[in-house]
Amino acid sequence: MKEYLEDINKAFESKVRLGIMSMLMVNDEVDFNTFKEILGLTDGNLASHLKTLEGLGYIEVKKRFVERKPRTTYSRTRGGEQAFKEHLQALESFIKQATD
Amino acid sequence: MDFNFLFFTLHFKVLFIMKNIEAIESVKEIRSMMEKSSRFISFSGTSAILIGLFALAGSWIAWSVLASVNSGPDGYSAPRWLAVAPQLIVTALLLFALALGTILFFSVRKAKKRQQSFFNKPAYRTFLNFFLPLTAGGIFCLALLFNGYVGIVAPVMLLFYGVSLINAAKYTYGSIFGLGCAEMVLGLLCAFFPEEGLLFWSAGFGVLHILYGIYFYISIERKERLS
Repeated sequence: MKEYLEDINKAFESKVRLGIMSMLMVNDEVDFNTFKEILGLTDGNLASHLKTLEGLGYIEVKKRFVERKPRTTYSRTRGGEQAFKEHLQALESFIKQATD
Repeated sequence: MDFNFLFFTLHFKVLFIMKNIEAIESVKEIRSMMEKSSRFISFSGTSAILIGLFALAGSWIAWSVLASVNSGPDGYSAPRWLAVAPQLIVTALLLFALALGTILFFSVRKAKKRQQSFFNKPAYRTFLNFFLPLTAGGIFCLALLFNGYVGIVAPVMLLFYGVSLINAAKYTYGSIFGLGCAEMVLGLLCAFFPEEGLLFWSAGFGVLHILYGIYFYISIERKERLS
């Protein structure tokens, strides 16, 4: 049991960070407002979770101007993709083991 | 000693079950976020209601055009029908342009309200999967008209429209699937009553759109606004 639990990534224990990463796995780019809307968070709360993931090197930030308004978009990094897949695999084998 | 050991294993068992529930919850969360973020959600029920009203107006125009042709006991015979065909085709094309304009206008407005870009990837996937079968259906209908198979144009339109909706439903609101099925069933029924084509057509493109728009507004849009 212990070895499976070790593979579960602490960074994804937060529901918000798990949600952010899930969205970035199926979309190459997601902007700040989309995160905000789907996850239902305040700006500050969301920003801090995004910072954490950025600090871990799991996501990348891109800032640019669209029609003179700043738009911030996020994308997954290779490291983030790898970490998420490992986390998912750990969850999967944990559930499998428990139901056996 | 024995008791202590029992307590120890029980403790781990409870912990294990709790962790398992957490793991299942996590997987559910991942799935829901992936789905929500990859679907086109800038759709407005108002546009469906308006399109339904336009369709009813359009079929009224078509009905009056057809009424000016004296149909024989055998239904619309081809030579007489061909005289009004251009009028009907122009009406249909105008209606299509009007419907497309309406849905784009309301979708762009809804996306702007949410401070999202309208033409994102989910939108692209939805429109591609919708217009691919629909375009094929449109060209097929033209071929039918040119060959004089007037009676089965209405069922073919309903069928292809239903198929397009079912195809696009995977990338947008799931309830579109139901609307697609209803259009398809109506199209199949209509195929058995070709002389009632216009009636079925206005039921499918008019009444069903209005009903779906109302349903969408009440069950989905109002909840979205509240949250």
